[in-house]
Amino acid sequence: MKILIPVIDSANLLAAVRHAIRELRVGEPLEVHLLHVRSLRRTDKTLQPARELLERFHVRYSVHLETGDKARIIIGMARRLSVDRIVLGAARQWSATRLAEDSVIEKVMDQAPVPVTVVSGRSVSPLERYALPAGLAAIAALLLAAE
Amino acid sequence: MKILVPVDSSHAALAPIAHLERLARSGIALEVLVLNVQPQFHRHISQFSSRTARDALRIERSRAAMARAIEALSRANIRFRALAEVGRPAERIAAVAERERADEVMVGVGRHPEWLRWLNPSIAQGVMARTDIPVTVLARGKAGMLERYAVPAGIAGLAALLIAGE
Repeated sequence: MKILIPVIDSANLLAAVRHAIRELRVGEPLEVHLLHVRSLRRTDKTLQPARELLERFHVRYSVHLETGDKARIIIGMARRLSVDRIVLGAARQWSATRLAEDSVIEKVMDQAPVPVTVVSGRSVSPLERYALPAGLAAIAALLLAAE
Repeated sequence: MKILVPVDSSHAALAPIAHLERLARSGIALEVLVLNVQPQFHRHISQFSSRTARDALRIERSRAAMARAIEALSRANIRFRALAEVGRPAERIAAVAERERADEVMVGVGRHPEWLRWLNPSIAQGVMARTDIPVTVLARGKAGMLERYAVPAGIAGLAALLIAGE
C-alpha cells in the first residue's frame, strides 16, 4: 500500500504517520511518501521525527520537498506517485491552526483521486501556543496603556 | 477495525463500500456500522402528524437509503450493523462514532466547486470539527459545468444588470 503524507501541520505530522503505520497490520508492504510543501526550497528538521518513527517500524519511505500551492502539489503528487491513500495530520478541532489548514484540507478532499484521511492530532503549533497569546496580551496591554 | 459509514440516498455515499470491499479482500477484519441520519421534521409538520406516522416515514426512508450499502456488504461477507438516527447529520455521525468507539469514519462525497463548498460545507468537514476520530473522505464524480460556471456567471450577470440599472 502506497500512502502519501503531506505536511499540513508539522506539529501533528506524527499523528498521520502513526495512522499510516497501522496499515502495517494488513500485512501488505507499506510505502510512505512524506511531502513537505514550503515557500522556500531548503531542507529542514520538520520531517526528522516522522523519519525516525518510520525507520523504527522498518517502513520504506521517501521524502519530497516542493514549493508552491499546497493543495495543487499534493494532488499532483498523489497522481504522479499513484498512491492508494493520502493521510493528513491536522491540528485539533476548533483551534486557530486548524482554521488556517481547513482550506487546504477541503481542496485536497474535493479534488484528490484517492481516499483522503484526516487525522486530528492533539498538538497545537508553537505559533498558536506562544505567539498568538503573546500577541493578544500585547494588544490588550497597548489598549490599556492608551486609555 | 470498526468503521462507521454514514450513508444517504446519494450515489456518492456508497463510495466507501467499494473501498471496504477491497480492504476486506486484503485480509483486514472489519466491522462496519452503516448509519443513516434522518432530519427532524419542521414543527408545523410535527404539529399535524402523529409520532407513529413520522417514525414510520423515517424508518422507510432510512431503509431505502441503506439498502444498497447493506446489499453490497452482505454480498462481500463483511460484518455490519445498520443504525438509524434523527437529527443534524454531522452532529449525529460524530456522536455515534464516539459512542460506538469507531476507529475511523468513512464518508463518500460528491465533488463540488469551491464556491458551493464555501456556501454549503460538506458533512465530512462538520464531522471532523466534532470528533478527533480519523475521517476518510472518498470523493466521487465531477462537479457539473452548470454549478462550476453557469451559476456563478449567472449571478455575476444579474449583479452587473442590477448595477447598470441603478
